[in-house]
Amino acid sequence: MINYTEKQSQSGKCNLLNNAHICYNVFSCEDIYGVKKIFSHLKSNVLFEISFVVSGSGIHRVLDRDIPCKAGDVCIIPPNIPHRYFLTDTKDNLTVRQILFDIYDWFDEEIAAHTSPRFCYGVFRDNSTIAYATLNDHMRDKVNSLYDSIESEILEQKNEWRELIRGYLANMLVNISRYVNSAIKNISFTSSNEWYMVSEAIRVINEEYSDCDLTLDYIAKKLYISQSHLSRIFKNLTGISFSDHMRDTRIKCVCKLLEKSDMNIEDAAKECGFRDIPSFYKNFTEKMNMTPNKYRQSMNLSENKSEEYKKLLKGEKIMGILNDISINVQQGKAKIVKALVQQALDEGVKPADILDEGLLAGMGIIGEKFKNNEVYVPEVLVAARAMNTGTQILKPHLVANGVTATGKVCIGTVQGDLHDIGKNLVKMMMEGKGIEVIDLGTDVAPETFVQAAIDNNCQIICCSALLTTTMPVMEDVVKAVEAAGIRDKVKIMIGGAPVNEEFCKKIGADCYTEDAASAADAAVELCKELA
Amino acid sequence: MTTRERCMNILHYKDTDRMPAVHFGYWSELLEEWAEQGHISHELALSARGDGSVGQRELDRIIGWDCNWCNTVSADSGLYPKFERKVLEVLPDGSHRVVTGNGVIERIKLGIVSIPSEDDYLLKDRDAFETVFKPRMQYSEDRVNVDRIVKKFNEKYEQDVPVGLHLGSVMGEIRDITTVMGMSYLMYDEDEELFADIIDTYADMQYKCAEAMLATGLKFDFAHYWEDICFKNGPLLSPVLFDELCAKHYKKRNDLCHKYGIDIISLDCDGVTGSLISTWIENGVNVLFPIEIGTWGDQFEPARKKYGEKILGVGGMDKTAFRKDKAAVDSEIERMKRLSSMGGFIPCPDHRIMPGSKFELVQYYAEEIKNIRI
Repeated sequence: MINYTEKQSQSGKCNLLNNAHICYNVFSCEDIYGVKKIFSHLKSNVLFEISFVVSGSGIHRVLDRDIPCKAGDVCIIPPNIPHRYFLTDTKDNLTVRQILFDIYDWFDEEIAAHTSPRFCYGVFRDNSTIAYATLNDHMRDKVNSLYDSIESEILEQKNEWRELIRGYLANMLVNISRYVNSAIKNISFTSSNEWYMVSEAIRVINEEYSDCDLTLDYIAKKLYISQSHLSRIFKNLTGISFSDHMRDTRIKCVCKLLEKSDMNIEDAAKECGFRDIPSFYKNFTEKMNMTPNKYRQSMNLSENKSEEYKKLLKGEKIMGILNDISINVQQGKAKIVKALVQQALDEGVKPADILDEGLLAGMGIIGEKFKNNEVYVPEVLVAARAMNTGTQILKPHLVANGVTATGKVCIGTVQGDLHDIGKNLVKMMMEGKGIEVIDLGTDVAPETFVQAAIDNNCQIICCSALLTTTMPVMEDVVKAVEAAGIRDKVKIMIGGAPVNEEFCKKIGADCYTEDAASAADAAVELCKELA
Repeated sequence: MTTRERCMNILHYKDTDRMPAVHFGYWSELLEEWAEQGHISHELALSARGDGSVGQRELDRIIGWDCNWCNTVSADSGLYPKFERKVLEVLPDGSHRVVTGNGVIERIKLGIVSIPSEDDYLLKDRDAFETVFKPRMQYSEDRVNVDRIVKKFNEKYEQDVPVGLHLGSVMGEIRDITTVMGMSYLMYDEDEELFADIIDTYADMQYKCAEAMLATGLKFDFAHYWEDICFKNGPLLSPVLFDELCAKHYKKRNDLCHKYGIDIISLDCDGVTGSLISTWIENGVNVLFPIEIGTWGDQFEPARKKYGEKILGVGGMDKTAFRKDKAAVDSEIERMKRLSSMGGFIPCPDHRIMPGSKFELVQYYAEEIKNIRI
């Protein structure tokens, strides 16, 4: 039975039909926000739930996250996710309409299956735990009217009422799904469940790091996901591991205590959640490049103290900007990346840091995901475009600061081949690794590759071919490099649809890779070898 | 038995007297090579380029093929009218920048045979779509020239080979209009609603073309799509997004075909197709073609294992064997025997037979493949 409030619905209606196939409930919520944040105060049920804020405003607590809610907010919640609505003021009013239903009872198994991209599970894009959106007026009216229709059918139970409800339910789910999907860019909370999970994990770490029992497992359970899944998405989205992030947070806490208090070092470490003291010393020294004792001494130099503290705070802010740059590169948001890079420069962040920890870090994550088939060509293209937008702003500053590229590559499609999508992808990926790429374009003669490598001091010549008829030209490039006497100075990489490792060996090239991201990794290694 | 009966029987798991020798056309450069080598005349090399053309049928007879699988009849279901193809600029290296019929600006070099490099494209925003492209994506009766279609169908039908209804494509032709780059930007960054509108508009027009084609009363043996939306490492976009954008259109068009009794619906997609197959098969497509094992390593067996007998195949023979030797061709024939024994599978070179292929090896294959008994 669903009853979130002590005070039952304003209309008093609460129907439970056919073994809880569907339950409809309208109520006015009058609880006051401010109860202790524990799950036991929330309610969960075994059915899917669609809740819709008809009027008023308040707080919707889902898991341990508080989401301000207002009229028009619609939320679809799978079974067993604890949540509850609260008011923030006794004068406020909040009316929420809800439908609970067992998806397997109302829809056939194929549609309801987790693997199906349709209907209900279509709403939960990217395995999102909940679908949450603020509907526009038109959609709000539509959803409200569907609620009315369902209520009416439940109360009257005329002929074929169940069929009608099934239709209304499908109508509502599909419409909300379409709306959520079309609005997904503007809904930061639900745009990806992974972002939500990771941000929640970070919030829990920030609040509870002093508890030495705080573990990945604990937070994963709190978020209702597996430990390995949380670990993986945390690393994917932040670029550092969960354990490194928690260690860094605790070290920051220790730094503050060493600076502000007279607490002895070991007590400070324990206060900040370190249980193993030898390990704390090791971690601290590695991270801060000095022992805790040295750190305290440096902080205690009175004239430096406030400056160092300011630096620490500034460091946190800078990390935030760099992280934002990385995330927006991954999401392909070119305009935002451009603004963030400018902001970072204005804040005085070193151009090399913006490049390495912002732009290249983001592109690196996309490259890994591409290799693992977690993202596809379009995501790489939009990410590369975003990165290039940022790089354009950064370029003059990098030059002024004497920052040099990781290596230099000249790239082109071989003579007779004009198809360059693969070549362009490789170029983007290499630039995403900090390599300077000289693009020779398409239909490049062997001698042009050689001359470009000599003129530009390139460590690598990179040849692409789409066609089985043009791939033999790659062997001509190898021979031309040998004839020019630069074979020991230049590595030759090959790639393209018909090319493989066997062919690479046969023609005497140095490296073949399966995909563009692997090509970029290999190029970095080859440049290191030749450095 | 006729070639039509053989093909249709195999794809319906029925008995047949022998395997039909089916192919997927030739590179025009190969035909020129064969003419130079004296295997065929230069006139035949020119006339045998088009799928199912009179010249190609003559070459089929000389080689021993029974038919080209891509023997289809289509409406004028692309942009209508197309853009006027014209040279915009001649670059210092002699290459030409041309605007194509699809509104894509390509760079081509005379004398070079390759998929051209795409420099730019015109369909970039809502304004271009609404004012320039959308009017060219509308259905009109003159897209379906019934007299021409009936004539073409009858010509093909009388040859006793399977005749297909070409259904166009759901995403492949849009990719040709927007380019891979433009498609990616539209889908993921600039205007995903616009991209969905483009797909829907184009698909509605192609549905109406199919409807009009079927209303002629012609009895097509199968229906056929062209997509080419995959590459070496898999699909050119997320399979989830592909499903969201395209599934409904496949279903609608395929349901229409089923209504007219067409139960064989093939789809031509190059590259590694595995992760898109579920969208196709769940929405009515049931024949994978050409299953490019030679270039990309695409495979039929995993799909059969996953979807069982409801999935059929035409293709899967590594055409690069024709450039090697008899042993390589024999090895492919043996592999084709194994695949054919599963039923619902017709061997066919996994794309157009390429330059460097040996005439006598192609002839040998076309004869030997007929000896497969199911």
